[in-house]
Amino acid sequence: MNMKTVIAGVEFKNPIITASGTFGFGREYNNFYDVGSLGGICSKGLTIEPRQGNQPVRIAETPSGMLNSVGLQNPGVEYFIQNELPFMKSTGAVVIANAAGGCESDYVSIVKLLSDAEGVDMIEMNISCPNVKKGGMAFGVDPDGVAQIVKAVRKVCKKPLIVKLTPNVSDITKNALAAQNAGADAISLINTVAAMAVDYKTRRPVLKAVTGGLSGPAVKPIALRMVYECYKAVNIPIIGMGGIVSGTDAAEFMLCGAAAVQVGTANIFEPYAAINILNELTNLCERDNITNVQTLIGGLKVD
Amino acid sequence: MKSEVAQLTISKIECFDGIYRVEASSEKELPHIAAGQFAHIKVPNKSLRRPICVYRNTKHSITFIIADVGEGTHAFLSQKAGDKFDAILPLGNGFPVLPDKTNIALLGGGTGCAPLLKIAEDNPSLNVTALLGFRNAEAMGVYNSDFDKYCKRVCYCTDDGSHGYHGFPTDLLTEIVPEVLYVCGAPGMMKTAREYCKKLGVIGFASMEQRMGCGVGACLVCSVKVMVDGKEKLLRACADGPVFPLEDIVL
Repeated sequence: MNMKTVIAGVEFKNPIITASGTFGFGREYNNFYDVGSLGGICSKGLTIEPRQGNQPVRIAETPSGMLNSVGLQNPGVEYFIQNELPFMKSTGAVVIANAAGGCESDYVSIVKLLSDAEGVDMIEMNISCPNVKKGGMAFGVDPDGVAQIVKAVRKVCKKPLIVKLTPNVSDITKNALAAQNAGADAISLINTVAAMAVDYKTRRPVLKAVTGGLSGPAVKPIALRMVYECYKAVNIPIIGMGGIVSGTDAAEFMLCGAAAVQVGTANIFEPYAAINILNELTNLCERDNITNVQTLIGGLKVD
Repeated sequence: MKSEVAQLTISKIECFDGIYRVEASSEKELPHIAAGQFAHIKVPNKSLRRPICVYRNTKHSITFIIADVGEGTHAFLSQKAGDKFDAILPLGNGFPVLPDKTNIALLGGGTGCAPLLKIAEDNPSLNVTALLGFRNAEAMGVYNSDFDKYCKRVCYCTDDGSHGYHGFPTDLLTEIVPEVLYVCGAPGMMKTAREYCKKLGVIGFASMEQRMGCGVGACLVCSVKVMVDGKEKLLRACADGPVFPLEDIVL
């Protein structure tokens, strides 16, 4: 059985990638299983300078999902390149560095550094984080904003460039097209859905930051719809994500047009989630005589 | 430290005024668990696990002390003997036991007493005084007479005066001068304990609590404020803690 998939010329041994912000740099989960058996690992969102992130409380459980308001806490890109990247590379999984920033020049500088770093296979541009005041989603909601920042980054990016899209827009295909036309090699979607939780007893928001990003199975139907719409609109590969907790979930995203998927919140629920999902997807292919997993991509039958 | 997902079966569940003593068994031998480490427990019909300190354990049994305080703990505590659950364990850094410091004190409030017992139980050579606070005599019952068994001296305190000293266990700090103080309780207790340690030059360690995600250090949601090299930092309760030097904790 062939579980390989290809995105922007980069070969993944299987379509399961861990999503940014849910897997650290892979070290913690490597204590549970060989994370190198996954298709790829996406780093925690990185910025030029180290960031402390938002004040706690940063998490709330909600029906079939959770909210987070971490706010891009990370050790900074230089620390990453020195101390975390060599480990990520050593796992054997495709290494995706997730880059964020507060302004255009931040994105250009960080992508330059990551582009030159030995061991980074792809760069995922995070223009969709709902948890930071400046930058993040601010660039990602307006198609013109997307076009402008992707164009600027494209000029300095020597590695395949993935643009991660926010679902907090009225028509995600406009942003997908803007990313494609500005030179993105692939798009990934969806980032979290802007949301909040309230504690009636204390009459306060659960999160200190008041609002956060919703993820988990609760957002899966939204994510499937958006992947499906984007697949019809663009001709670059799509990495699908949003509430994937099983091999069947992963296959559904591929049918809607995803060439690979990212597993995020499931890792937080269950340390073996990503490897279990890979095993389930492999078993599903075996059971249903799917000899090449790539034949699932866009295979949705619509009357 | 290697953590694993342990398969556990509830053997006994008892309630003491809203605080539960949950005993569970494991067919497979449990890994070594240090005092102050925790288990990240799967809860029925909930996605996120709940971090609960390990109160006591043997190779095939484990005991948790859990207050019915929220949706997660309520769902967990609605289970019965014979029900199965899994838990990632052991997690976090436990209480350091310092060589040559034999006179120690434990200061705990309610469920906060739970992570402290193992310090005494696992280190029989220590000379341990325990100052333990409870709402009332009934809530105190959740610990049976476990502390009496492993501590040289135990002072029970109740808010309502129904047993022992009528007041807070922190009131009794002035009666003792340990070399090391181990604390777990409400922020007020931690604050008083920190001032006491600073004034008398006592080494202090405290266990912190925060709403948690993965439990293994990856997701960065369970931040607690801790001073590092004179600067306030947000550290992970799960992987950097839950135990921190008392003087460094920002309350």
